Amino acid sequence: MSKKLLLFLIMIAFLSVSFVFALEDNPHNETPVNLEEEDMLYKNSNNSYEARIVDHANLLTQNEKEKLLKEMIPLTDYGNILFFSTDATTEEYYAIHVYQSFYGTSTGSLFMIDAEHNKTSIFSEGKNKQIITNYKVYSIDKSLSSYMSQKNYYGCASHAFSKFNTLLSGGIVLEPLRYASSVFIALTLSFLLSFLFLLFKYKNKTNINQEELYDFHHTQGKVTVNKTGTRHDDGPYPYNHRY
Amino acid sequence: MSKCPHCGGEIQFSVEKQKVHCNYCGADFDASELVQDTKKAKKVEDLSQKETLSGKSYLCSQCGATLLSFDETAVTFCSYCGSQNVLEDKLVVQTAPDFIIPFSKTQEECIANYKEAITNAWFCPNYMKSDLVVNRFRGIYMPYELYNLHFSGDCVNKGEKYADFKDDFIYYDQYDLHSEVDSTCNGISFDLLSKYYDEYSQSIPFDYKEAKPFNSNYLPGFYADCKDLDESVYDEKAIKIAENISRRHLMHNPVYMNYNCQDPKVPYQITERKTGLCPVYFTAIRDKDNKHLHYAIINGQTGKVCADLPVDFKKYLLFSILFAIPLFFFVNSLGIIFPSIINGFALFAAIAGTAIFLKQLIKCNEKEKRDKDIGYYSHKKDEKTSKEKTEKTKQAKGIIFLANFGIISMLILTGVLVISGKAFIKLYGLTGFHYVASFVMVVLLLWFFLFNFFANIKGRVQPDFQIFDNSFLVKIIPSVIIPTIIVILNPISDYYYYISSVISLSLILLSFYDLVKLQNKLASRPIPQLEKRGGDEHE
Ligand SMILES: [Zn+2]
Ligand SMILES: [Zn+2]
Repeated sequence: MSKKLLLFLIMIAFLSVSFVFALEDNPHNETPVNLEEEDMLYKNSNNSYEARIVDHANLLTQNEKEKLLKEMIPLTDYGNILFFSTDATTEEYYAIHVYQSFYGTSTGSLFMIDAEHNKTSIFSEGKNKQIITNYKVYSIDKSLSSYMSQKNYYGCASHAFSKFNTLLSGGIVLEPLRYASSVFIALTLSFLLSFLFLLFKYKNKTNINQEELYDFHHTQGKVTVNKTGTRHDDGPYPYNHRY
Repeated sequence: MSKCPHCGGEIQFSVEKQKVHCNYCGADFDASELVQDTKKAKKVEDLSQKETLSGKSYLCSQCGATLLSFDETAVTFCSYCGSQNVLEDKLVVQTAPDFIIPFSKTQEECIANYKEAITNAWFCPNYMKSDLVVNRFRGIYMPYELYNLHFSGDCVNKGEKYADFKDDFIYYDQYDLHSEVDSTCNGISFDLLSKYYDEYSQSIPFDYKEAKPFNSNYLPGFYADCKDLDESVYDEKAIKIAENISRRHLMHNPVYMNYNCQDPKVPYQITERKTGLCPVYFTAIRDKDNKHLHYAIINGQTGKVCADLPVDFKKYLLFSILFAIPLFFFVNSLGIIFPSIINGFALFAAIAGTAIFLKQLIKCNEKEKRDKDIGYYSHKKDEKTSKEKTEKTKQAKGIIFLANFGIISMLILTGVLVISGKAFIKLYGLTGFHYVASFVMVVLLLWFFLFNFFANIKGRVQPDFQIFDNSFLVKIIPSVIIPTIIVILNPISDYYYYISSVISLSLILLSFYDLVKLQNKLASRPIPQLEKRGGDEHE
């Protein structure tokens, strides 16, 4: 039993190590983002969120930009939406700084392609951050790799934005499901606690100490010790020593 | 049967007055004053000088129990199984026991205690305290035996001490620890009825200081049961109990500790074995399915209640649903209802449910084992059991193997995760994947660990640990697997998370029905059948 417990603790330690690994944060430099005026821009008149395409690396044709902007427009219902590209001729950017230089801490999402490093980044702020979580981003990233290897930048961005849309629109549609889940969580929690309460109520109070009921008298004289022999254990097991 | 010395009418023992009372002329007598009817009995059977216990015996044709009645009131139903097929058998004359503890609590007091106990157990079905049940309590004198153990003389125990470490050998000096001991342990008692489970008799202890020499005048107005176990059945157990008490005493003495004496004890001998009758209010309550019994037993001396407490699933359901309402608002106010959290909660709940279930399962197995113990099967050993046992041990070992397999595979996965951790971070940054994957792994690890632990308590395979063909597992396994698969697949749309959590949680909720069922199994016995009991009890 204690051996098993030890094993179990080792495993827990193992897992904590993996947590520490996971917690190791990304290093990021403070590089300001250059703003240029040739951006594609759409402003949602209802909520003043905007959709913007900043293509420093010239990855998209004019036609593709127009198509992409159209796809981005529905996303402005939920927050700002930004496409940003960079390559060897431009500076290296970090998603968080890019987004913040445009929209600060206002709700929105960024999809960034670093053509130089053949890398995509996704960053969200505000309400969008709660829906497009890091865990989701990891999953979206995985699905983009085939586009990136084909250098199909438009397809890549379009796919990412469609995933954004699934998530963001779902975030609203799934609100009733969220409540339904709360009901189930509350019910399960209640069933569990009630059962524990039941066990407590039904607890066998009959486990009385029988020994108190016995009539026990004990008198004892001095203990005398007689050596009778010697025995030996083989093997150098120092922890076998008994003192 | 004794008659009233004034009018020759029928007498009864009155609990309130603690006197023998005549129903006709209303006179009261001390039980010891009255001439006992033993002489009359002697004439009938011509037994030796010894006192006798005689009464009309009633035989239950359902379970084979016999009850003795000592007055004109007939036994109309069997107290042990509730059957009404009770036949007046014959006049039974037995050797009288050594002592008797008269009833000192009235039936009304005891029933009030019983009702209170049922009310305190919130989830108990209401029929347990209905008049139908309560009116079936009967005062029965149960056969008990009382052990007196003693030892005086030189008590020798073995000890040893580390002496030397030489040539790769560790040497221990061995010692005999002598001590002059005079030790008495009186009052260890057992019931002498095979159908009366020890679990109950041990939970309503009697105060034997109030025991009186046997006198048949205490009997009228109550029933008595005839012992069907040999008086020597509990010898070993009694000695073991006394030895355990003595061990704790001896351990206080530092010499035994210094000499590393593992098991110091006093070698008791049984000096006396007294048989007696102890007062109990007893009833067996039939379940609605008419296949199971709940026993309710009240100590007629102290009023202490011991009852099987079943759970009314409807009551439990109602309580849980009402309790869920504040919990719902609480959960919502936390604002943590995210898909992965719900999934994680489902896993957690499945683990908790499994833990409770396994714990109750072990309890249930223990109960069955205990029932089969000294009481029921003392005279006939089941040949099947050894075969069954190896079969069950195989099953338990299979479970342990699977659980170990699960633990090891989780360990390997953890290793892979740790090694890949750095690479993941370099590629994708902080993904959250590690949090979730680690959580799932901890949960699964715990889950496998539970099975291993319960099937293999203290490193000993539990032969009675069988969980196959179980409706609980059918629900709980998918409720663990579905959220796990969803976490691993990590679909973009939260929809899958919600749906899987809701399926998993519903399965867990359904599994609580099995938990309650198991709890009810713990609180009931099958109705005893005549053919299961060996031979004729009364000699
Ligand atoms: Zn009278
Ligand atoms: Zn019966």
